[in-house]
Amino acid sequence: MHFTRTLPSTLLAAMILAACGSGDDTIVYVPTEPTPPVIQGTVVTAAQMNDIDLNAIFQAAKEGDTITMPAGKYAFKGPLQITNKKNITVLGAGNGTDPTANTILSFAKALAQNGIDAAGLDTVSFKKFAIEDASGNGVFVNQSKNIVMDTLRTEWMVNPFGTSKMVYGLYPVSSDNIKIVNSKAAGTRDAGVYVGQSTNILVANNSVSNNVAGIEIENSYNAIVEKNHVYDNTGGILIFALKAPPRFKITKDVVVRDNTIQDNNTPPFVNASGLVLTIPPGTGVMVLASQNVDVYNNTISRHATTGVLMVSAYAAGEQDTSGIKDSQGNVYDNFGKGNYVHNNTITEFGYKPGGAFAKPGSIGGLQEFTDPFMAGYKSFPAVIWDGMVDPNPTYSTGVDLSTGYPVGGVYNTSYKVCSKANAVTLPAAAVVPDYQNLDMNLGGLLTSTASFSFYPTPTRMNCTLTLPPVTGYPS
Amino acid sequence: MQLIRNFKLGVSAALCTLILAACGGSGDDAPATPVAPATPVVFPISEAPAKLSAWNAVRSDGGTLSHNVAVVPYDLSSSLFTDYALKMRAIYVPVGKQITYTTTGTLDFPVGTALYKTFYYPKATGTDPKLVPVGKSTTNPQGSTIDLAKYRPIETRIIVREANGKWAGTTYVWDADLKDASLNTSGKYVEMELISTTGAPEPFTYVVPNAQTCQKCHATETGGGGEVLPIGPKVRNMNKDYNYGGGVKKNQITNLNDLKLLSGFTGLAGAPSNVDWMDSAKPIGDRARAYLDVNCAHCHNGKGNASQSGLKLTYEDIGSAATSLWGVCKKPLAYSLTAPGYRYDVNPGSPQTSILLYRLNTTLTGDIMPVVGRQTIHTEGTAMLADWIRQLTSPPSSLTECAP
Repeated sequence: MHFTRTLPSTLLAAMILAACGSGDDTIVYVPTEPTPPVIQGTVVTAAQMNDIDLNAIFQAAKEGDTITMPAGKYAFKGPLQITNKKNITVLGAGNGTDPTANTILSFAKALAQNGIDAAGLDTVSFKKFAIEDASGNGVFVNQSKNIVMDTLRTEWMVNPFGTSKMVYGLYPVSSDNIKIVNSKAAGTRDAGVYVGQSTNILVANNSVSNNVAGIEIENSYNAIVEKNHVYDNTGGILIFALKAPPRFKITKDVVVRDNTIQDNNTPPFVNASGLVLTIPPGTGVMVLASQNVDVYNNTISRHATTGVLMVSAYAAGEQDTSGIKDSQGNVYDNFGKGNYVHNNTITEFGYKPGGAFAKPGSIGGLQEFTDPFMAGYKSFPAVIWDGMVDPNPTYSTGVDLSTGYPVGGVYNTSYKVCSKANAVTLPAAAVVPDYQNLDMNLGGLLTSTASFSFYPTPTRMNCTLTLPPVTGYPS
Repeated sequence: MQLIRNFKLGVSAALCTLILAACGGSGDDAPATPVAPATPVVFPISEAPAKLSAWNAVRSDGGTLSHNVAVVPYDLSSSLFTDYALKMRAIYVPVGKQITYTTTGTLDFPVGTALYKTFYYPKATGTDPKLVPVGKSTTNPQGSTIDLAKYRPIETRIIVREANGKWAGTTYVWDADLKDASLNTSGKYVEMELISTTGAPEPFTYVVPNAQTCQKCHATETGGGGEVLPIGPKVRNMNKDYNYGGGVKKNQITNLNDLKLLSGFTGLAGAPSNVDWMDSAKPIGDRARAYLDVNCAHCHNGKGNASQSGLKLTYEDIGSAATSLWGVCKKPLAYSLTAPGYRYDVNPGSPQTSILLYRLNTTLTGDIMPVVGRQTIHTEGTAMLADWIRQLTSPPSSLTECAP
């Protein structure tokens, strides 16, 4: 038998040559035209459109792969999971509602939350598919970077106001470099598009409707929100900083421009809860305790409370002086600073203030006022600032702290809160007070020591700002 | 073409013969039948064999499922609730290697270590032939064998510390004949019903995790996406007695040291220990901390998959002075509730309004916590946590109920 060990390779070669050579006369023609480009990756069959098979395909995906999903509507028993992958594209046939031409992933009967559940991604794109009826979140991407969501749809399909269990639609969090474009988010009981604790963000050309919050940028840096159509939510576009998030406690450097923001008067869903209830229904844009937020060139129409609302954490009852630090060593900033609302077109606003403005003594939401706030006025103004000034002398002068709340005071140059040059169509009832801008002087109201400033242009808001450049998603 | 195809087949057959002859059929010194290695074989997970038996660590003859004698069985003072599954665990440390003792996080196991965990249930008589009937047991036997006349294994999970120092894991689902288990990386749903001596049968879906699901829990320090780590084998969970059989019952850490498998251990004095959360003789705060640490902290820590929530349910955080970090009067950041009336994660004195308890006491998709590994309600665990929240306002605690 030792003899055979020396033979096989030559013997094999001879045999294989014989095999290959014998069929020459059957090969008539080999096409020389270029074959169509082959996309590296996997073309998923309809039979594989279940979470066991599709998750196995995602698990096996290699760098550079495109996972192409077919048109159709498919039901999943659990979330689609993608973890720890680099340079992957997940591509469907379209994000519409017709299953013959679009890829619709339904999670109505899933056992576990979330449609897409992803973490640890680098350079991953999600394109052209829809997530329907996912409990938890539509597309959840955690601790990742270079994430693109393009032409997606996340939606709770039937009676979202009473039954939606989708908390967020498109939901990247604790991530860097995020682009959410050309997508639709509807029917969440919290936010349609929610970007949290992230940096370098572009949210553009999306249609966002029938959520409690439309688009929310929260505890994030360097975000551009532009050219979106945001309508029929409780609040349209929210720029928030909240005290609890561990990665960033601060929101700063945000641009909100060229958006069409309409009819965001939907009452909060019957099953909504938590901080989203802070939003007074009928608010176009709300800025909470954030810094360097530039709101311009937006069309903001038909909002029962106000066009743009800028408040401190005190207004929401969410102030924090615990000194607990975030991952960057920063503590929470209770105050909005360097916020600028200008060159917007704001029409039909303030005709029926909602939330805490409708019932100042209510629990939750904005805190109680002792002033007969609406007495003598026919409408709320187009732009409202709660007028709370950070008493730290680095930022301001003249804040009175004797009541325990900051009252009055003036911000130094680059920390001002300004509203200027908006094209405001005043309500017909407006005669004496100018309904363009309100400096609420909330500290004074809360302590019954001062009243608000309802001047045509309140002195403290009559200013312009030059804000630091915002670059958004890296181009 | 037909001719060619046939001829190629012929070649293949010839090849096979030649290769068999060359590689397997010769050599006077070759043993007639292979003998199973005495110790477990540890594979890189990317090369995990199709059958569990190839690891030679957890074997079955169809009547008894047993550990190789070269592995060390262990259990935890408090363990993760997984739909009442029982668990048989073991450690294999390669010959000549040692675990480095540390009380920070998971024990520092040497490269080549494998940990095995077999999920199994008491057999039961069911009410629905489409469902696998399993018994509901609240106590977990110790030992290295499972009598398959009485118990039914579902899966055996393995996590390995590979040559590059990183951990990786996979699972094997037991075959119908219970003589071996088969590699499963893409997950599986097993429709079951939980049979209790008291109360109605509970149908539920047992979910065998896929490879990505494993990461959600085990990437404890990388947001559910990066490097995985074992969760249970920390000193504070293993610092307890174990009955090794034959009259040998001793502390598990001491036992590892006695087996020369532990280095840097200077004695149990000062070693941390979690209590058994079921031990009603222990302080309720310690029981709750032990339960939440092992059931929640793999995600709810400063780096895990739930770090963005700002809720930290770790051994170090629970009970600390920074009460908002472990949920006291903390509003949820990224969660809206199905049930009204709940405002805070933990509302001291008021379990009926504490979101933490609500989410442990439901099976509704989207509300259920933990999000992996639970489809039934852990009645005993939630009852203990309710007691804990109820007494959080009792002296000497200075906590009070949150603002309404």
